[in-house]
Amino acid sequence: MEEQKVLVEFQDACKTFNNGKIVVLDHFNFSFFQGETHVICGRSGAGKSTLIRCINRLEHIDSGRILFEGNEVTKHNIKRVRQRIAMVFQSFNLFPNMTALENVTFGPIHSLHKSKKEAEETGKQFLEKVGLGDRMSAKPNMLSGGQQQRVAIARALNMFPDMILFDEPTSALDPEMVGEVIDIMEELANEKRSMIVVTHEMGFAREAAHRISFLEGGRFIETNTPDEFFNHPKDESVAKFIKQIQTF
Amino acid sequence: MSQIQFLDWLPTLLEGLKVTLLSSLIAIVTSVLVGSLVAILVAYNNKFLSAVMRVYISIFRNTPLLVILFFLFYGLPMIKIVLPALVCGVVAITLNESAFVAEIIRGSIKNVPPGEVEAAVSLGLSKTQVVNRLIFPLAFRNSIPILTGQSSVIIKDTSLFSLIMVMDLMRAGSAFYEKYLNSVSIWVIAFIYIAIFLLITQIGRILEKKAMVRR
Amino acid sequence: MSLIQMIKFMSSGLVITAELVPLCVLTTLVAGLILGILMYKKIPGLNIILFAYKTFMRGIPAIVILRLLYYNINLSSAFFTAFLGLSLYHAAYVGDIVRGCFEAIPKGQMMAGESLGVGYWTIMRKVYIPQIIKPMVPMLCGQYVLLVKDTTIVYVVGVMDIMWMGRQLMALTFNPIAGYLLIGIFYYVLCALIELIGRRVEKKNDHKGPTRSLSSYY
Repeated sequence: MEEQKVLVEFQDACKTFNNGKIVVLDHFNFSFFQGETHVICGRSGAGKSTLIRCINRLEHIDSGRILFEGNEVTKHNIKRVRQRIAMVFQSFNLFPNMTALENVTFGPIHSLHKSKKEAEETGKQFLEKVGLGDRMSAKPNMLSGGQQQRVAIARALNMFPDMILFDEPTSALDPEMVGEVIDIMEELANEKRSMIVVTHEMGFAREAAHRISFLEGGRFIETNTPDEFFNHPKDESVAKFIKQIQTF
Repeated sequence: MSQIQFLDWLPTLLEGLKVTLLSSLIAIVTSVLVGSLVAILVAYNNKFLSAVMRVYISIFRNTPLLVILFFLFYGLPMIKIVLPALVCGVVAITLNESAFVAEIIRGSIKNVPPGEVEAAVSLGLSKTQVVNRLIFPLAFRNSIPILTGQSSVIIKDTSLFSLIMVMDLMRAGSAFYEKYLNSVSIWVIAFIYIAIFLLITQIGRILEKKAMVRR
Repeated sequence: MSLIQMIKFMSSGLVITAELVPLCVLTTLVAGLILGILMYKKIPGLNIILFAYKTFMRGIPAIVILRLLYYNINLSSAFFTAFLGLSLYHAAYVGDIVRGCFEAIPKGQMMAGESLGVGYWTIMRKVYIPQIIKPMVPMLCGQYVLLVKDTTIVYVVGVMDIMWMGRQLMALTFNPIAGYLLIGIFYYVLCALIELIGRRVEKKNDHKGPTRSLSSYY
């Protein structure tokens, strides 16, 4: 891959749970590039979600540093970092007391301090982009899981973020709804948005990812292009993993 | 109960019903307001205020309403504070029930799903914003069905007004008995209480359905 | 009259209250368990009667049932009237708590048990009842705090309980502030104790662990 601008960088980051019994990051060093769609996979419990949650400080690393655009993410600049890194969650986490549009404008109004009018204007555009132009005044409990997750993506987009973190965005969805969410994510990937995606959707990884990493034992034991990753995995553990998922 | 007896009693009954409904309404409003305030003060991270409010909740949850009522009605005049009986009643209920309301709202605050909080946090909102813009509105909304149930408790509470000489629904029932030595009036007021209870339960059910949490 | 003298004066009433509370707790516990299971089983016919009883008791203030008993049935003792009234009243609530706990258990467990060829009552005894005890205790504690507080009104049927003695005392000493404070403290201690037990058990039942504080995200 030609020379790329580094957006997020882990420097010697360590993170453990349960007094060191569960190792999520073990002197972890890695750079995520601007404009790339980076898929992280691994076995359940490997700490994939925790890894990306460290980037916007939903989890704190025990030692080491995480840089965003060259600056260390600390509790002092976390608000600004969060304003620029959006997140899409596994369980959607829409605000149940707000309509779809209110969900989408909540961040821009209260965090970016945009005017309601401006936030609604762009918010409507993003809701249309995710195919929900006709459900703007629906509350989350009136929407299907797939629709809720698409609202959540519009909510992320309306922050005009420099990067979007996807934390298993399709795992909580019924199988027939996975496609509608994946389609939008593929569209975003094609727009060269910077995305880090934790997912088990290997179809998406194959189609849309620029690079795929496999997390195990607190490190990326393999990082590769989709083609190499699936067809010629270097690591034995990765090869075994791919074989297991391909039997499905 | 003969027709003449009933017609003789009817104005008393209606007066009692009016007093019960009006004082209940006021007591419900004041209890919810004070209780919400207490819950908010507990939730803010001022340690002193939070502790004071916890003591308030503990005291008034665990002291019988009647004792508070008698304290206000018979006790306060000793230090030259004479309140009308109805005011004593509403204040006593407010002290007592606001503690329950505060606990209900506190429970709802605790039960705001962490995912929703994380979503707001990851949008870059400050702690205060998350509390004011998300947690409180959500918690209050989620409390409404339970608070509706609690308001039927408040209505029943007002029956104790009859013990400080207020002509409420309960006393109206007793008044008939005292005049005619016929307890049918107690049955009548019992069924009025039940009708009010069923009405509120129904409202609560509708609100609960409306507020049904996602998925 | 000194504080000690006041307490001595009220002690006979205190004893009556102290007798009434455990008696009612025990009775409502047994009655509530039976009622709860019967309501859970939804036996046609009986269910309507139980529903009517429950709605009646939940709809009226406790003082109404006391007055109804007092005026209608000439029971020999005031204490028994109070005991019967409060037990009838609170058993409805306890029954509802028990029913709710049973209903919270997934129905699949009964099917799983029966598919193993185990009888209904054995499944009830060995599977359902052990499961409802833990979640039931905190709710029962909440209900019994209400029951204890409701014992303040039994003087209206002539029970010479602590409230009654307190009123006698007030007539003697003209010091209602001290009198009601004393009674208030008595009830507070009793209720706070029951509440504490409930909270302890609730904490033990809570397997979610501590919820993250908002500050931990910053």
